[in-house]
Amino acid sequence: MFEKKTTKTNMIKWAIYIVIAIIFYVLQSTPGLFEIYGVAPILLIPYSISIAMLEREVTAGFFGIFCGLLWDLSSGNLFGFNALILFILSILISLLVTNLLRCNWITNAMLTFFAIIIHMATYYFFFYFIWGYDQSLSFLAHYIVPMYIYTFLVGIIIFQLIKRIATRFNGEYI
Amino acid sequence: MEKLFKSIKFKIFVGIVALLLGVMLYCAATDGIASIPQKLLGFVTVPFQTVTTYVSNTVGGFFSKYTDIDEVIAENEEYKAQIDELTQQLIEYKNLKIENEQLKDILGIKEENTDFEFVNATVVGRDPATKYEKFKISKGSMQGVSVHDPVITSSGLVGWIEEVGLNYSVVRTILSPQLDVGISTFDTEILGVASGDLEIMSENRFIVEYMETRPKVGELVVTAGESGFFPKNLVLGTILETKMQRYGASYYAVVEPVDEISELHYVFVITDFIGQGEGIEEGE
Repeated sequence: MFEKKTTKTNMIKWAIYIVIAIIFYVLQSTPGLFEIYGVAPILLIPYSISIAMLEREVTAGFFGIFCGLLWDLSSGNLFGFNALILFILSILISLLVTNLLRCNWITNAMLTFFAIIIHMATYYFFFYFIWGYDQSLSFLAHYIVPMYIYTFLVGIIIFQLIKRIATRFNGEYI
Repeated sequence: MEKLFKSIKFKIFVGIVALLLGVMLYCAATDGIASIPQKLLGFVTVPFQTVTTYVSNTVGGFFSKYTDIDEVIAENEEYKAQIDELTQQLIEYKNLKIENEQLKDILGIKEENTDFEFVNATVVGRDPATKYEKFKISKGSMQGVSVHDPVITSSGLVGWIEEVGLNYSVVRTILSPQLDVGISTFDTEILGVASGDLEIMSENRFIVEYMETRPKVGELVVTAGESGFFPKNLVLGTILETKMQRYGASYYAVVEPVDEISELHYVFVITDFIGQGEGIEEGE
């Protein structure tokens, strides 16, 4: 009986997570939405990081791939790139929080910052730096970095939202 | 830690990483033809994006009336000053009229190019990371769109199709450094290559390089139509400034596109025109 209830609860939780991921994907790729000075946040990075912090590694890995594939779809870049990066980051973060770190907003801010730096560095390296474009550093400073800073700030709010949902299903986090 | 590396879970994770790498390689090798998972996901999500884009545009338009009031007042002041200036410019009206006729000739694309086959499309997605370089439109292979079809507005060229799904396509814009377009200046017929520049991309500008003589500021830049990818005489933009290239004896120009590329809502895809594909070698 208990097993049945747990499975059902998990299914509801996963369904909610999937729906939120799709909503974030649609909001993220809607032209002009949340734009400040021409810069919009990438909602799917903090979302997958938040889930990674609040769930075990299998769930974290699944949502890392899912969010990454959705993002790949709208970015038009090499399909699978974001899925791969978010998958690895989600697994790492989930393992860190499960074994070493506490799950609170400070660690979330630190881990989101770490994830954003890793993603930004790989994104810039593979899509701009290695192609040898002129002025790619200027583009990094004036567009890419502000976009990731905006993403980081939005990530703090997203974590609070996802934590509320996760707490309902998983209980309080220590 | 050793336990972790020996566990089945870890082996599955490594397997997934390898699978994702495989998907990436496959997609990189298919040259713009969306892979099966990409097509499936795209097919499902495009209708949602169409709805949210419509809502976003409508709501954004409603609120901007109120939120941009300071901007509107400032603009009004600016316009008052411009009225005086425009009065002086009235003398030049005749010249402008002639130029306007020329513009109309070019911009009346459909009338002049009866060979063009069009598909109209809505911009349904724009990723924050690539908003100047790419956008997603609501038409795909089911509507006859193919990779490398030119994408235009009523004013001129904005890019080409880089990737095609069933009901969506990804457009690579002329602001992107990864798209090179053979161009000619309209009056002086100087040839060059138009391409994006990362530094000025966000200002809605691109550059034209390798021009043998210095073009005139204010001159129109149109497609040369020699590659087989784009029809001849599609307007790309207006030259804002010209400079000599750092190395060599050629010139380059900074060009303002005919539209605000990052704010387009509707576009047309030219699915067929006379000369399409001519002179393009296999694998080019």
